[in-house]
Amino acid sequence: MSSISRGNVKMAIAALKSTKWRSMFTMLGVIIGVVSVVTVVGVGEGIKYQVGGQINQLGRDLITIRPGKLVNRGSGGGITGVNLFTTTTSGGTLTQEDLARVRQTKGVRLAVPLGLVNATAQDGAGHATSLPIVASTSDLPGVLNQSVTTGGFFSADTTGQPYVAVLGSNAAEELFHQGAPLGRSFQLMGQTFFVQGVFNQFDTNPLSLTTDFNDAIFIPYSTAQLLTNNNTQLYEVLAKPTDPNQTTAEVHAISKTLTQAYQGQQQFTVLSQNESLMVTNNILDLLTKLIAGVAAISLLVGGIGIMDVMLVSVSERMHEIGIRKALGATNRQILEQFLIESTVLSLAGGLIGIVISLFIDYLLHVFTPLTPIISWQAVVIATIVSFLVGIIFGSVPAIKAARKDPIDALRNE
Amino acid sequence: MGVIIELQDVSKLYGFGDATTLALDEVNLSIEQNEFVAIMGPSGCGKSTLMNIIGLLDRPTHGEYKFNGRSAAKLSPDKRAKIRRDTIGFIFQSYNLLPRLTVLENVALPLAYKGMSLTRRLKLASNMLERVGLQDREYYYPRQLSGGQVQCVAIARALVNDPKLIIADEPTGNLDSASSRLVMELLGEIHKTGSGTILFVTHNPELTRYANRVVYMRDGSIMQDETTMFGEVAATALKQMYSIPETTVEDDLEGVSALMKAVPQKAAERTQPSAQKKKKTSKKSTRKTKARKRSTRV
Repeated sequence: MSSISRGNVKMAIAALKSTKWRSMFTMLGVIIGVVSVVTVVGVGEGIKYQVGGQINQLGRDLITIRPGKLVNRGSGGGITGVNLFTTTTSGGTLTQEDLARVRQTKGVRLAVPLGLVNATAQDGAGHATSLPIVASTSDLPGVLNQSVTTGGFFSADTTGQPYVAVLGSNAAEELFHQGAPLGRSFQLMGQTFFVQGVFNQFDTNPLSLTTDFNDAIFIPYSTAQLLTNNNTQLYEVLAKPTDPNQTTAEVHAISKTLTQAYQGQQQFTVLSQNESLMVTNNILDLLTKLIAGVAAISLLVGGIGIMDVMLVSVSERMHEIGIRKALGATNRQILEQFLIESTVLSLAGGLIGIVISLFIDYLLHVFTPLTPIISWQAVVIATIVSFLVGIIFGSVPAIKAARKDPIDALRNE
Repeated sequence: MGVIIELQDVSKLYGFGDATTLALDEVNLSIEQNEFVAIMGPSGCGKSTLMNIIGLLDRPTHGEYKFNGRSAAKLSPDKRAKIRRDTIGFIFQSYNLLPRLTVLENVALPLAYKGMSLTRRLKLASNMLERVGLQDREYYYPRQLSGGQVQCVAIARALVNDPKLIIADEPTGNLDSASSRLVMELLGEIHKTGSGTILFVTHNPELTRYANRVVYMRDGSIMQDETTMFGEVAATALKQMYSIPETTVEDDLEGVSALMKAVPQKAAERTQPSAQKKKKTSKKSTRKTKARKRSTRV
């Protein structure tokens, strides 16, 4: 049987080659379908990977506390739902007292505030920049698992010299056009700040919910309070537990402390990194599935295109079918011949589509911050799907060809 | 010798109601193994329908057909296909080779449906092409061959399965007389060397000399069935030959087109040098006329 099939594949390719343009345009439907699905899934996977990388860098035991209710928790403490439309800033604020409460919760090793200062930093030449100003405390590098490459982070007590700053790597470039502008100064809210250090590059992802730390200017929290008359907006508290293995328990403990403090009047979102990874992945999966679903419709349309062309091909080749039947081809062998033809068509389309999407992903990688990942699973699934498209949509024309009466088919010139 | 084909009161009707036409009218025919039968008759007398039924391509409307002792009515389409594949070889008037396959692949095609390995079937096909004298044309496509050669390829294809029965429906219908003779000689030789039964339809009484039995048909019935000697034109056919020539305009046109096909090749060889001569002479003549013109001026 295998020798027939091999001959049939050769014959199918010859038949498809004889109508080169038609075959090419027929394949186009499948190619477009495969390219769009594979690319969308690849981009989604890439973003997920980037988010995961960022979280790994920050440490799996990092706990974030944000105002607002981003997730619903069941009685057991597990996440039961995600409120997609809650942004990070809406739904109340965090206060200094909240920070103190988190610090006092049993098992919390470190807790740092992240405050946003609405101000514009001016570079040496007096040009305004749009860099975000983040106010925090000296424990920040420890909490973020990030070191300062050049210089050092500001100390716990900055009362002696309050106007110091540490820069994200991109911010250093933007302000001073150099990587290590130690000791240089810039203007912020009428004060001259001295650069004390520059952070290592943070891993980032394009869909990050938080500020990109690479762009940020970090100033001491006390300085921010001083400049804003104790009105610094505290948008996030980051905490680390004493025992990394107790992160989940710690999330519950902090959540409980805060809820008790406000008697349930205020909503907070306390998330471990695993959970925020889950939340991000949930959102990403939803988006990816949605877009891939739309893209899959083009694959369906491609399949219908194959069916159309094969139907035309069967009527055109009625005489050939007649000859083959007269020579002793059984219905099954005729069916096989046309199924192989449609499958070769759609499989070739699928493979070309995979090659094109690899190329597109390479271009995306080079020219955009996206780093799409095409997994071997995606390739295998795309191949199998295009194979199935050929079988499914090729079956109607193939059955039509197989059932044709030999005499009727022979008379058909 | 066993009976290979047995038809009992076989009728074939086409269409429904008022449009019904009777292609075969209660035909009884029995053909034994190793016979070489010519079937003659005017167009539309049911010859092709009879061939299709005998070749298991079509089913009779009424009557019983036994092929090789088995009732054809009980055979499933797949079983019929397998019998066609293993025991029947078809030769058509319009050759019916697949244009996209090479000559060799065309001949090997029936073997492919048998499930034979590629190398073996190509070898067998090659042997068969050698037998019909076309081994040097193996990798040609049908469109690159002449009509006679294409029909020889078709014969090779019909023979490749070593069939018990060869059905040739007007094998020489599209061929000039030289190619017709070539094709019929080939069939005659096959009949001599093999043990196959050959059934062929023809309009040409001359060709009945290859057969040992001639069946005459008219309006769906068998009018006469006579046994003849090999190499002799059947008596009835002979009568037909020398009676009032019933040639129509179409027959004349066919003859002309056959001539046209036959002539150019030979004519082209002969005419080419003479054409060059003509050119030369015409040049001379133009010179002469120019000279004359000059002379008239002077």
